[in-house]
Amino acid sequence: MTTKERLSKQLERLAAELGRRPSVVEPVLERIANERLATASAAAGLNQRKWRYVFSLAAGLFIAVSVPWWIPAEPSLAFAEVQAAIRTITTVAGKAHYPNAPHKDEIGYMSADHKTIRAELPGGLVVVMAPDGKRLMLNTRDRVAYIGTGQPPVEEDRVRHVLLELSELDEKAVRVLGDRVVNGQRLQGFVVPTTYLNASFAKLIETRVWVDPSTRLPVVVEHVPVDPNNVVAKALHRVITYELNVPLEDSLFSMDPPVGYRLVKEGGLFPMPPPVLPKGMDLHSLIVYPKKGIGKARFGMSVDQIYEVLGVPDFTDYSLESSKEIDQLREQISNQKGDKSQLQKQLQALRDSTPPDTWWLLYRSLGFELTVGREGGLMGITCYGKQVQLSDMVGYFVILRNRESFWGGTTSFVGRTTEGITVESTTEDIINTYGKPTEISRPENKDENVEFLIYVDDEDGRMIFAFVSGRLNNVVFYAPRRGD
Amino acid sequence: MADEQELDDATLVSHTCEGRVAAFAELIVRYERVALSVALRYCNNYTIAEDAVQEAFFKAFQNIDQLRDATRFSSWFLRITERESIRLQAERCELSSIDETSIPAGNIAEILSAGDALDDELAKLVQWLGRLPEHERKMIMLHHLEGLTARQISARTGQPIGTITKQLSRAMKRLQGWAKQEELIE
Repeated sequence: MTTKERLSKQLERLAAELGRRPSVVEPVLERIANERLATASAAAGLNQRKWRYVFSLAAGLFIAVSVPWWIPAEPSLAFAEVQAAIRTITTVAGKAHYPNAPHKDEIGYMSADHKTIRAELPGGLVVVMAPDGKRLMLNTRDRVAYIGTGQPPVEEDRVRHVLLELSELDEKAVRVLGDRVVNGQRLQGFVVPTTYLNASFAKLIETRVWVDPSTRLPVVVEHVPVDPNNVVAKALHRVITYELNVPLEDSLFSMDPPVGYRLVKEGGLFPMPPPVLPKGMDLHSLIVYPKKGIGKARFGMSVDQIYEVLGVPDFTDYSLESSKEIDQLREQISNQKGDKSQLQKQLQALRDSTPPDTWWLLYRSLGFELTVGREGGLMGITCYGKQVQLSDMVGYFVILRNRESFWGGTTSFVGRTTEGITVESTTEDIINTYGKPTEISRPENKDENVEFLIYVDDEDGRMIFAFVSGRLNNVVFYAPRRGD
Repeated sequence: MADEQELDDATLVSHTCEGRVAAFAELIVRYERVALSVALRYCNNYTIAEDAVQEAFFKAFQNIDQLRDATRFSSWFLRITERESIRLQAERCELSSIDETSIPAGNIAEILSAGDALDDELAKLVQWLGRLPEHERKMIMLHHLEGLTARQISARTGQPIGTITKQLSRAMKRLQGWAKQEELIE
């Protein structure tokens, strides 16, 4: 590397370092506003409210750069009135924007009869869910449609679900935030409990609801990091902009495949559109170092550290630490002892307050998933191949986690190991590279097209290679055991 | 917002003078990182440097009508930042009687101990940036720290693209010379 190149690298590093610091826009504007308010009221007898509007308008213009800003004001609206208005909503159109992960942006709609939901999800996936359980899925990139049944999970109904949760909140837990002016419209703010996340994450996020006092309906719901430097919180940062009670085209909720789409019926394989690659993703991060990690992520790293070096995953899932109380409640529910809905509420509350034990960070757009333990940090790397349904087919541990078909829309892993192994490598390639496996096995369903090469070495870690028709499809790398 | 982003500095200054706070907010967004790098020359501690930057913006806003040539906003503002950085760090270190010009930047970094700071390599780079002639420093910062292209710098500052690229090239040569001398990145 030449001196010039090294210097450019240093300048890049300096820019990145400075870019991570919090912006001073908000404190400076706040100080200017306070100064002017004081001067105005003391000297000229100017209308303070006018100044408030001037400054809140200025700050409102900065929503796009995610600078929170508000002016304290007397509340003119009670949150209970907002909740009452939400309960009368006819239609919903909302756009969810993730300022730190825009590849996750999505749009949600609810039809006027409250029955049909449409979600326009990242990567060109559209899901329309009818009240009878029927689901239309569209791969808009390849123009393929699928019609089947299934319960709509909350993940496909996020935009509307946020409103439902607001309508059910305990008003006593809400505090008034103040006013903000956006595009000439004064909005009244409330801080409400963050209910859509497990308690471990909810404490990282402040939920702000901005309401139009004339309609009493939310216009913007923000999920803002409490600590702007916390990488996990930054990934959760979300701004949902709503248009409520506006007429929506019937065609949005049609369960008929659009003209020109190839139809796949229930039971057929629907090709999920590959997710959008995050902008600026460093492709060098896709090198797997067996026994060490992937890219800049190393075995043992915490979730925060992984976010820092690999960026925000497309999807995060976690399991909770098991407890006697949770097990007992589950048993009571399954045995139908007591009030089921009450027990389910208790179970949910308990789950919400239980810390995650294991995380799964799914980088769908890059074709891999990381398993991270609360204690041991990064402990597993799973790379996915073309046969995304393999997990359902073979029933084998980590690779075989039961995945919703929506989450299974994972692009084929485009990276390689340090030894040059990629998806599509052959069994011979693996044996030539890593030697004779500890075990060769087949799945429980005896599918002859599927074969596993398993390398077990407790000191050096485990590797499991899964082949479909002789070509590498999935591979899992486990962390070496720590000295115990 | 989009409108403000497209305006050059001089127009933003003019709008700020008319009381349009959004215009000044855009100037903050444009220069806060550059200002922080300037402040870090004098305060090798983010806490003080960020306070100095806030103070500098506030003073710039209060005195913006005294800026005679609006096209010189960045130079004028960065001088305020330097002064505020020196003043604040001296104040925090109870060195209020010290003469601004007598403070060697490197020593100030040693005086400070609290708070997080740049690592040694970046601290050295910041010192080199400070040694560049003012016009070259501004170009390097806008290009490398703000990520602007020569065309965007031209739109913002009003200078011809050819001049900007020459200044960038000269600045890089100077920095390379110092880098070699110091054997820091060799």
